[in-house]
Amino acid sequence: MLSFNLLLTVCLIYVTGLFFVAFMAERRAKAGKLGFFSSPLTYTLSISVYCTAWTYYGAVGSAARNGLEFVTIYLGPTLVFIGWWWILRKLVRIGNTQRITSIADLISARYGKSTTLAVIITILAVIGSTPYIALQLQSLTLSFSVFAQGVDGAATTSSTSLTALWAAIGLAVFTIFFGTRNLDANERHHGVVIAIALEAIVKLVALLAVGIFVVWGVAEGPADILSRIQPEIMQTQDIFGPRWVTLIFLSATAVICLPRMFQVVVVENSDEKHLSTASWAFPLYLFLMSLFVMPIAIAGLDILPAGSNPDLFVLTIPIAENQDALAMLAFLGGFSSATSMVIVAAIALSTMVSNHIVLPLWLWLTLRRSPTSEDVRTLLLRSRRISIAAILGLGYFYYQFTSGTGGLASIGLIAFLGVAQILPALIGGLFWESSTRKGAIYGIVSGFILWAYTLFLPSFEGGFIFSAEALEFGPFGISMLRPDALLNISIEDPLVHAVVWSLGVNTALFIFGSLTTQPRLIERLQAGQFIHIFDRATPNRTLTRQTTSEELHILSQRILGHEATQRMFTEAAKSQWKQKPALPDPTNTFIAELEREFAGSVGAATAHAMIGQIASGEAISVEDLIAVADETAQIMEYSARLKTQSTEMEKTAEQLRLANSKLRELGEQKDAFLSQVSHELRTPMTSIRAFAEILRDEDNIDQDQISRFSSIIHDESIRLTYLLDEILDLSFLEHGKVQLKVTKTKFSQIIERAMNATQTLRQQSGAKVELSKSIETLSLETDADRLSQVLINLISNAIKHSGSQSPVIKFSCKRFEHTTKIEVTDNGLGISAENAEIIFQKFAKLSSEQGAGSAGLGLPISREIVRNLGGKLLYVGNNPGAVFDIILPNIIAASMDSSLDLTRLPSKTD
Amino acid sequence: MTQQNDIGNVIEDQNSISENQKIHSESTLASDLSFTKRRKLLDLTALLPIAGVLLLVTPFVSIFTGGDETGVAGSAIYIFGVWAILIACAFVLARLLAKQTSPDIDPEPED
Repeated sequence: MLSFNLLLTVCLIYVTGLFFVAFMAERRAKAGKLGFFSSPLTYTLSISVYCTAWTYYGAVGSAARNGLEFVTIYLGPTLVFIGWWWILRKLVRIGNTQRITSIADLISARYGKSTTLAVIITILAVIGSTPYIALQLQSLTLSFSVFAQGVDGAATTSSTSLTALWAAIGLAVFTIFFGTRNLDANERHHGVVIAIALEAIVKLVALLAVGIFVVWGVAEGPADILSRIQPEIMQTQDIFGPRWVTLIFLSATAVICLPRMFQVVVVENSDEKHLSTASWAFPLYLFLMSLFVMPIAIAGLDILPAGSNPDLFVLTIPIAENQDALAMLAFLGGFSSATSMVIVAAIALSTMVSNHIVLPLWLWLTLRRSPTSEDVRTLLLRSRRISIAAILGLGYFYYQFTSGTGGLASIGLIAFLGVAQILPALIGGLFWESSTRKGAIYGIVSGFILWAYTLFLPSFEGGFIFSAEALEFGPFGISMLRPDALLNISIEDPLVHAVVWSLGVNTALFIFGSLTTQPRLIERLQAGQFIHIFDRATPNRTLTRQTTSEELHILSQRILGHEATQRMFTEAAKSQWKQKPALPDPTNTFIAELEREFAGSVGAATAHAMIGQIASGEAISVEDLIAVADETAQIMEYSARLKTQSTEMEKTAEQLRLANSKLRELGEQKDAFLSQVSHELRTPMTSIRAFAEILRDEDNIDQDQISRFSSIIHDESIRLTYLLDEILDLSFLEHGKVQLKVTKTKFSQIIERAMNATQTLRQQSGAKVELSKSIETLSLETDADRLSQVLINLISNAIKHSGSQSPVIKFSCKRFEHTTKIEVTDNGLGISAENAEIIFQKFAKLSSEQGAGSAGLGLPISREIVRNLGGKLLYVGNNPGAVFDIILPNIIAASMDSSLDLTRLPSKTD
Repeated sequence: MTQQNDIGNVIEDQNSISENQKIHSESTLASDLSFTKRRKLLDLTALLPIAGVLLLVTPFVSIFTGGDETGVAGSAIYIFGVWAILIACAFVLARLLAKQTSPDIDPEPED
């Protein structure tokens, strides 16, 4: 017989070994040399966390009591894994792309990142799992007590409760140590995975060893075992029935919905391809686990004294046969089953509690306080550690509270049905586009209440909330409300009764709620991303949000910590072609990327809410709406995109056409200008040539004629030079290449210069120039030479073209804050409306014009001069003679701000 | 519902492929064939759990296990036998699928 102390020693060595293996795995993972640790086999073995102590010990017990019924617990998962193509593949893909951290996170993310849903499922999971953890502690202490009894029977009660306590503490330490190394729940817990994979091997080997020993050691081969079958097992031969179907359904659901199963299957999955290996390897594992269950049960019933606990046959048969080593191995198998389940469940639950309950609460409480770097991260790590301890503590107290009542034995299936309430919302979320958040809440809450009412609370057998009488006759004696026969519909098996009611009402309300409520925008977006996850045609849709890179950076530091933030932002900046030190632009894609990264740590709902605190204008564009709709809409989107493109092209073509016509116009102007210039140059040239020919060829011309002809040639040459000067001048003025000599000058001096220049002309025509009083005192800061040129032009124009016999030209002025207006009027006939349009054009010869000596460049040059001086020359109308306004800035530099067009003003140093 | 759609698509695909075969060159033909083969493998993968459900969770079970002469041993042999066959089929399908997934063909087929 093994001594209790030896057992403890072996246990401690085993646990130390687990710590060591987990530690090594973490170290190798850090070095990037995972190899076997990230193989599909490890993945499959880690899934075997499904086989808890309840199945390890309990399967034999169940077989001894109910025959083949125990296989249902393994057949359900087998069917789910063989059918991985249907659900698991989709779940794993979604889990990896959306960085899902838990089953609660998945449901909440699918239904519009709803915090409410996450909280509900977390509460449900904790309530469902705590008894399950207690069950593991119970099985641990039970198996210890088997050995302790042999030493001295008296010590058992106190020592077992102590064992449970120590087991809980040890498990908490292991889980905290290896389960909360990283904040990102989506990152693999390599140490934990390796440890539970190792434990998976131990429990399989142990059970197989006991089985082989039973068949070929205790009995004499399979035939002998068959001959020992007890009549009570024989009675259970017709296995098919409602309970059979229900159990397979429940176990199939559990392998997807149990928090710990979701953790290992979806969250810890590092490669989708591992799933195809697990599709046969995990059913094979289950097959091997159950292969020897019947023989062990048969042998146990046969050789052990009547009344022995069949739940412990795996241990008691080797002990009875004095196989110490085998008993030790069997014990370690049970120990492994219990510990691996507790570790993974604690990790999964702590992630849910900290992400969906603690963090939202904390954020809500500290809304006004200033955030600090890594505060969220620290809080989460701390809260995860505390919740692991709390969950195990809860399990321990639950065990203490219920031990002895026997209520724990059935808790496995009760927990299965509890988490099965998530199933309708989960399946609907994966395949049914119209399912809504409200529908999911209605379904889960109603199913949860009915589960508690019909199965969970009655499992206490009158010890908790429900009294024994209430259980038998219904609360307050209302038989309609009897927990095992609601509405007096009697279904024989209470489990089947509870399944039918809770899941029936759950599904009905889920469908009803979904059909009667409208999904919010974000729900539709998420629905599209979940349901069409394999549809590569759908681009990744993002919300349209506005925020700053700085705020994103601060938030990222709070959640991810300094290093990860630095890495992410540098990468994003690089992908946006930024120079190294710059922050990336807060594009919608970048925000969505960050949110996914945050979601890997804090869950989708909280990540969304935290970004929502700093970002504004969350909206979904029309394009996105189209994209989340069905295929027809996708085609519509495509054509819409084409349409946008063609509209853009049309716009460009229109612009090109416009530019083209402008160019053509300019070309025409240039041609016209050239032909006019050559025409203007041709006239004097012709006369110069003609007179030069006469002088050369005619012999008998007198001196008078010679001098007359020579002076004509001279005059025409002067006119030519003058014309060329003017053209050159105009060209300079137009391109702003004129040097201005800006000085402060009295206007009277400028006008005097103009009077002198036009003296001959004035005397010939008898024209008068009148100056107003204000203009005599006016002084200007401008180029006096250039301005006088303008005045000369205006005066000579008035004399030549006004049509007045005795022209009178009046100058007056008005001074404004920034500008000065000089008004020039004559007493002629004015300019007709048609001519008014062309007077400022080059070489414009008015139709009525008779006089020569002007090429028609005077007014265009004047206008350019005034423009170069920072002002405007305007023809303002007839009164009745023509009225011209010269508007000049008071100070050339200071007038830069005024509304005048000064853009082409040359700098003085030019 | 989805499965029916899938099967419908497969039939359409096969029709279009048989038409294409006349036109396409040898190499295209080969890739088309491997495509149909892959499609069929995927269909089998999808159908396997349905067969499993039929054999294990419907009254079918009673036909093989209900009789008086079978006894608990007979029932156990039926259940474990079906179970083993399912696992073997899943194994073969997974291996064939893995082999089919060569690097030039996209590892992720459309749903």
